[in-house]
Amino acid sequence: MKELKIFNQDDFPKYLPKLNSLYDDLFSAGKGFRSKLIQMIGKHLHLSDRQELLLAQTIEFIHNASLLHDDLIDRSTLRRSKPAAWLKYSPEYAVLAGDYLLARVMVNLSRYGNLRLIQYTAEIISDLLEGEWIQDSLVRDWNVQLNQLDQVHDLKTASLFKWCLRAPFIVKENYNEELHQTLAEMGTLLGLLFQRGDDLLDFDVRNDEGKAVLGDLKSGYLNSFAAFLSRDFDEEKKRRLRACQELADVKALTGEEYFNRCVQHFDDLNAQVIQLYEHKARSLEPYLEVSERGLIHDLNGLPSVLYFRRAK
Amino acid sequence: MEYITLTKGDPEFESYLLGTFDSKSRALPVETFEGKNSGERVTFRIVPLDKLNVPPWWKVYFLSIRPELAGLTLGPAAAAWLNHSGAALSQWTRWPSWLALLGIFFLFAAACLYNDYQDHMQGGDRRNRQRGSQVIQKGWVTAIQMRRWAVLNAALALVFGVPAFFNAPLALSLICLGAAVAIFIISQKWGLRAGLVDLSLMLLFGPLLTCGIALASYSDFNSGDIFLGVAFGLLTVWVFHLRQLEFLFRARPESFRTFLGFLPFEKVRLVLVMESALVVMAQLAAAVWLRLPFLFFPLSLFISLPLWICVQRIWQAGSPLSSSLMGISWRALIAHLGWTVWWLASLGVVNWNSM
Repeated sequence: MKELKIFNQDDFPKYLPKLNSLYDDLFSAGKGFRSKLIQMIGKHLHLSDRQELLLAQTIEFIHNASLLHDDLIDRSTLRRSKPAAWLKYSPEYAVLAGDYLLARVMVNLSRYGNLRLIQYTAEIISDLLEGEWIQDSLVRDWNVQLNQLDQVHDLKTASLFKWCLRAPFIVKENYNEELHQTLAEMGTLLGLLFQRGDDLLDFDVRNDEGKAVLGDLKSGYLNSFAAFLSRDFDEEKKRRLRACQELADVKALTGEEYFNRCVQHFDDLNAQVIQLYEHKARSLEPYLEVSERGLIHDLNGLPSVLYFRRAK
Repeated sequence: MEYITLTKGDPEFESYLLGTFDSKSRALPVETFEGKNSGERVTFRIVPLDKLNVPPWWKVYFLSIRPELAGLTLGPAAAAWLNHSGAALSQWTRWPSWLALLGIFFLFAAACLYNDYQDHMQGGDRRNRQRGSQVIQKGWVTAIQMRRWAVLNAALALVFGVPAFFNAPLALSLICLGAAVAIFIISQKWGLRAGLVDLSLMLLFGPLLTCGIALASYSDFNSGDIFLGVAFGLLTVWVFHLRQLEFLFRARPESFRTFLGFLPFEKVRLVLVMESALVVMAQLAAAVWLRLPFLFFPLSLFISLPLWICVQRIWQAGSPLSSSLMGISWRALIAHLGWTVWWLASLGVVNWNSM
C-alpha cells in the first residue's frame, strides 16, 4: 500500500506557523488506520489517486479534529505518547486547530463537488459531535450498561467507520440504497468491535501498543468492558472498582479467574458480532462488479484487526 | 450460525416475520434497520426449533399477557367494582360483575397479545429489545400463533362481556363508542403533538373503564366513578410516560405514542415532575370526593414514596441514556401497584362499614 501524505504544509496557510507545527505533531504519530481502510477499499473500486487522497484526508482530518477536542474535554495530557496539543500549545489553539480541520474538510469536499458526499460527511460530523456530547453525560455514571454505551459508540466511533465504507462508493457515484444500507450496518458493527477492542486495552488485554492502563476508569468513565465486568457488582463493589488505581487492584477485587472468565465471555459476545458482520460482508456480492469482489475478502479480515488487534 | 437479510420488498419477507417460512425452524430477528426508500431491512438468525429450548405454552402465554401490566387495567376495574358503597360486597355473587371482570381480563390479554404481534410486524419490538414481552423475538412463539391467541382472547372477552353488556345496553354502547374512538386515536396517533393520544389513554384507562365496569356490574355509575377514573387515568398515563422515557434517545418523535417525544429532554423532565405532583393531587382529590376514612390520608404519604423516588431519579438524569433512568418503568409499575392497593383497601373498608 503506497504511503499517502495526509498532512501537507503547502495546503495550509504559511502565515500560521503555530497551526502548522501543531498539525505536524498531530499527524506524524497516528496509525492512520481509517485512511488505510479507504485505500484498501479504493484499490478494489479503482479510485483515482486524487479521489483516494481526498477521502483519506477527509477522514483523518475529521478524526484528528475529534482527538484535539476530545483531549481537551477529557483533560488527557498525552496523545500518542506526546503531550496533548491543548497542553503543549493552549486550549484555545487546540479548539481552533480542530475547527480549522473541519472547515478544511468542507472546503476540500466542496471543491470536489459531489453534493451527496458533502451532505453525508456533514451528517457524520454531526453524529460524532452528538456522541461526544452524550458521552459527557455518562461520565461518573457508574451503573451504565453495555447497550447504553453501544448507542454512544454508534454515534462517536462507528459513524467514521460507516463513512470509510460508504464514501468510496459515493465518490464512484454508486448510490444503490441497499448497498449503502449494508455498508452502514457493517460500519456500525466495525465501530462497535473497534471500540470494545479499544476498551479492553484499558484493562491491558492484548495491549501490544502499550496504551495507558485504566485511563478511562481513572477519568470517571465506565467503558464497555468495565460495564461488562461490573454488571453483577453490588454498590460496594462498584465503589471499590472506581477507586482502583492499578490493574492489579481490579484483579484483586474481582479475582484473577473471574476477570479472565469475563474477558472470555466478552470475546464470545463479540465473536457473535463478527459472525453477523461476516454475513453482511458476504451479502455485498450482488452489488459489486466482478472486478470489485476481492473487497469482500479484505473486509472479512477487518474484525480480527479491529477487535483482536491482530496485525494484518 | 445461519443468517439471512431480507428487505420489505422481498416476497419472503412477511413469511419470515410471521414465522411461516418453515415448520422446523424459527427466524429470530437480530437487527432491523430502516432504509430511506427501500423500507425495512431485517437480519434473521435461523435456528432449528429443537435448539431453541421453548418453554411450555402456558408459560409463554403468561409472559405474553404481561402480568406486570395487568394492574393498569384490573386495578381501576376492581376499584370501580368496589366503589358502590355496600353494593359490591353484599352483591358479590352477582354473576354479571364477575363476567364483566373476566371480560376485562381477556380484553386486556387480547390487547397485550395483539400488541406483541403488531409491534413485531411493525418493528418496534425488534428495534428495541427491551420493549414488549419479546417472546416472538426469542422464537418461543411465531407471530402468526400470537395473532391466533389474540383473536381467541378477544372472542373470550366478547363471550364474557356480552351478558354484562345487557345490564345497561344503551349507556354501555356509548362507553364502547368512546373507547373505540380513543383506541382509534391512539392507534392512528392523531393529534400526537397536541397530546390528544395522551388524553385518549387517560380516558381509556380512566373514566371509560371505571364507568364501564360500574355500568356492567350494577347498571349504574356515579360521580365517584368519574373521579376514580380520572385519578387512575392520570396515574396510568404517568406510568406510560415513564416507560417511554427509557427509549427517548435518538428515536423519531412519531415513533412514540405521547407528545413527550417532541420535547427536549430538559422539558420532558420538567413535565414529568409536574405530572407526578398532579397524579398525587388527583388521587387525594378523588379520595376526598369519595369520603375515604381519614386514616388513609396519612398512609398516602407512605404510598406515594415509590412515585417520589421516580421523580428523584428523573431529576438526576443528565441525558436519556443516564443509568438513573434504568428500571424506571418497573419503579413506575410499583408506584401504580402501591396506589391500587391503597384504593382497594380504602374502598374495601368503606364497603365493609356500610354493609
